[in-house]
Amino acid sequence: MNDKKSILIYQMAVLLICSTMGSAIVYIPNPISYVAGNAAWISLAFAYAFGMLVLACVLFLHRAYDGRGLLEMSRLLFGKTAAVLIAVLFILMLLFAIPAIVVGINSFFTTIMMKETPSFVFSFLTFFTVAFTVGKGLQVIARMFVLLLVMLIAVTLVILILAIPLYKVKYALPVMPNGVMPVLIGLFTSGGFPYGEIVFFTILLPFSSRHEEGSLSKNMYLSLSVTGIMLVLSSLCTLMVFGPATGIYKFSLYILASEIRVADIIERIESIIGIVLIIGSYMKATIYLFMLNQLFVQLLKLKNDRLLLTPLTGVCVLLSLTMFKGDSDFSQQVYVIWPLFVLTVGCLIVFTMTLLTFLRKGIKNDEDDNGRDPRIESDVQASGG
Amino acid sequence: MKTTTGEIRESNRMSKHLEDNRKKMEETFAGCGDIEFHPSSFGDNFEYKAVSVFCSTLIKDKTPTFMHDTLNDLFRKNVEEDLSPERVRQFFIKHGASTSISTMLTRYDQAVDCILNGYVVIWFDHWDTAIGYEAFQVAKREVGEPIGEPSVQGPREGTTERLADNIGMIRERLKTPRLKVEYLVAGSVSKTKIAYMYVDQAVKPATLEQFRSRLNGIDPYEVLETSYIEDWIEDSTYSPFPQYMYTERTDFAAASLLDGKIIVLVSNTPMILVCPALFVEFFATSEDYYTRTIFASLIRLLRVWAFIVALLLPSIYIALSTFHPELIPTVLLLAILDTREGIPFPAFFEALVMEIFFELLREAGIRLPRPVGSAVSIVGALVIGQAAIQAKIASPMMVIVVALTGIASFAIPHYNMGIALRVLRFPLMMVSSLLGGFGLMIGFLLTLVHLTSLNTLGEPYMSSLAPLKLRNMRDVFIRAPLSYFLKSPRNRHLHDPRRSNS
Repeated sequence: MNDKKSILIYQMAVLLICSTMGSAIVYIPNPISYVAGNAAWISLAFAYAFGMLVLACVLFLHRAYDGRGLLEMSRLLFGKTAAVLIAVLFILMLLFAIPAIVVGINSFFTTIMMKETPSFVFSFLTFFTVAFTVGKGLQVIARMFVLLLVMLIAVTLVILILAIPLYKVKYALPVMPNGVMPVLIGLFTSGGFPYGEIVFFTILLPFSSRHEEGSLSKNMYLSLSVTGIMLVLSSLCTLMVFGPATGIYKFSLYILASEIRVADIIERIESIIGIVLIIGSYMKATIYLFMLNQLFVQLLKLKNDRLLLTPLTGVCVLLSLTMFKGDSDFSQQVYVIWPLFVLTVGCLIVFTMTLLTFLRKGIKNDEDDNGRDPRIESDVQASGG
Repeated sequence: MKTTTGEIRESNRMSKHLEDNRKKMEETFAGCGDIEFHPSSFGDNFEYKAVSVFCSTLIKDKTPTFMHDTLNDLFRKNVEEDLSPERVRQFFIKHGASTSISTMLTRYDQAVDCILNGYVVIWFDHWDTAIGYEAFQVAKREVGEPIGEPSVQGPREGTTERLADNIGMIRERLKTPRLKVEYLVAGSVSKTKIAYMYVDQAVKPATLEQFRSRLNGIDPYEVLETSYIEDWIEDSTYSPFPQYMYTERTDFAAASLLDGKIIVLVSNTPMILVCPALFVEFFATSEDYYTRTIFASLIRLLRVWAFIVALLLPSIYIALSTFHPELIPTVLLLAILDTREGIPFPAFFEALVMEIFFELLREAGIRLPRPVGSAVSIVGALVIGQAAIQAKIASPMMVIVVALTGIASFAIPHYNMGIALRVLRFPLMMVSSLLGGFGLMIGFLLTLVHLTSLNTLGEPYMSSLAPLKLRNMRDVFIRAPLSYFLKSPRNRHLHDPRRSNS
């Protein structure tokens, strides 16, 4: 590892799982079932396909621009002003996403485990932990999250296996009781959250190690598939346990865990699940705060990358306390407005960039069989030398 | 400046006159009662004088007669010729002495060093050179069973306070020129000899370089124990977690060397410092490799469980009983409530009192002489176990929790890691009493972040776990059969050296 800040390819792939599955595994089954009913898992499967598309674009851009970040890519493609605009849009998105994730944690604790504690306590402490982690740098984050993710997946699988006696296949039928429309709405929600959020990886991918053998793309596709399978599985399993009631239970996986009773020995295991699932949200918040901080560092060309970490965290704490009026407002914003925003702004930007790069590359390819944009190439040499 | 150093050098050189030399030594060692001067004469008519100087507390009983023996040697060989100082000189320069190790000394500071290191130094008339004979002998502890790390199976040999013996015992196990020993001396008063050893091609070059650069500059410090070195080269002094490991077992030291570790030995202490030490290595003992695979693996898992219990059990109990009683199965909850009836304190305070009491007992037990120590533990057990419950200060459940925690922390094989647990347990208890499961989770995450960000000699402390290296997992939570270890770090010297530093 020549570059001190870079992380290994498999660690990058793990970060992708963390950020896509992290909070979604506990939050997603409920709203998708709410809108799509029995067909929730089909929506999720389609959304996974959409996620693959987004990831393909992100990886294409990463290759085409020789591992540059979002800011430089957009500067090369659209010019300086547009690049700043794009960065600001992404910053706004992250400034919504990070508090939303933490509010998710808050509401889990305030509604289920500790009803009397005010939510600012959770906000403050969670953000303290998140900022502390970000301050330690990406390598520490990556190393640690591999461990946590193994734990997260293992616990989720154990729950789903222990719940086998509760499954009733008849709940899952008919597959699409209300036609195609609910599936599409479900697809819209889950396409935005969590799959559309893959566009944020344009910020993170430059940190992947470039001195390492092995294919980044393969690892990333594989890890997205892990997310896809886990999400589909968890929504299918909750559906088979609760049937039509799935859409009503918030934190359905947690409720599922509380239903498990094996021979009077294994029971009341939901608290472990709760904590483990919340750790997923923590991981996602950490990755996003790192991205947000990096965007500022790159935008303002800061030398000290911890300079803005504390103020940014402070802003996020305040946002998390003021942004949502209540649970219903939270659901509305996170499951309706946020996906719309991700799809129309984030995904659109990335798709446009991909298309433009692709077209330009195609034209240049006809002119000289170089395979790369000469303009980019020269820039690479200039900055590399 | 040049002249002054020249003058110093000049004044440091021995004189040709015996009286000058003697006077200089007497001045230097004024007030040192254990420095002895033994004059004698030689030559045909005993017209020439000689004097031997030594530190009587440092040398073997019979060595004051060294000079006589040496001169006798001369007489025997040179009966025909007359014994002038010139003859004596020629003899020593050409033949050396017949007995023991000897060195020629020309400067006073060399002579002082030699005397303080247990040499007998002899001056002769008309000669500006002295001869030093090694005659060091100080009573030291015999090689015995390592007290800190006893074992049921495997060698019972432990290190002693003698540096040379310790190095010898390690070298006996690794008969290769690749085992390097490098010495340095630290401290202007103690002049402690420090040795570090490593196996070339097993140690990572970057680690060795890092180690050397950190050890640089220790010379002016008085090093009295290996822990001084630990403190000196540590990455994070304020972390509760030990970043280096100690051992008194030579077999463990040899195994560590094969693992690519650097070991540090300091004279006059039996403790060997193994660096760098990774987090997961604190769960292993040398005995794991002497017992059968299945048993060794189960024991390892038991230790990991003990670690979790020792760190978290009191906090989990506090969190559950104060914040989340609904998560305890009903029957158990009723039992707990039953035992807690009439206890005036909240669970946190109860736990705190009992834990502090336990720590107190443990500390008292260590320092006291053995016969009194057992009395303390009997009284302590009675007080903790029986009286506290009857007086309604603590509930039986809490006693179980505290006792289990204590026993679990004893199951961690390395003492230093046990200390880390003792330190961390209290803040975790505090956060869980304030914020229940959430606080516990925050505490756990912060600890994990800290652990992951720690480095030891440039290597990630959580290595093999974070960054995760599945290949090394065969020697972390389980101990795979030894035949699988051919490709493990232990046999790194067999691998391609270029790949080993990745």
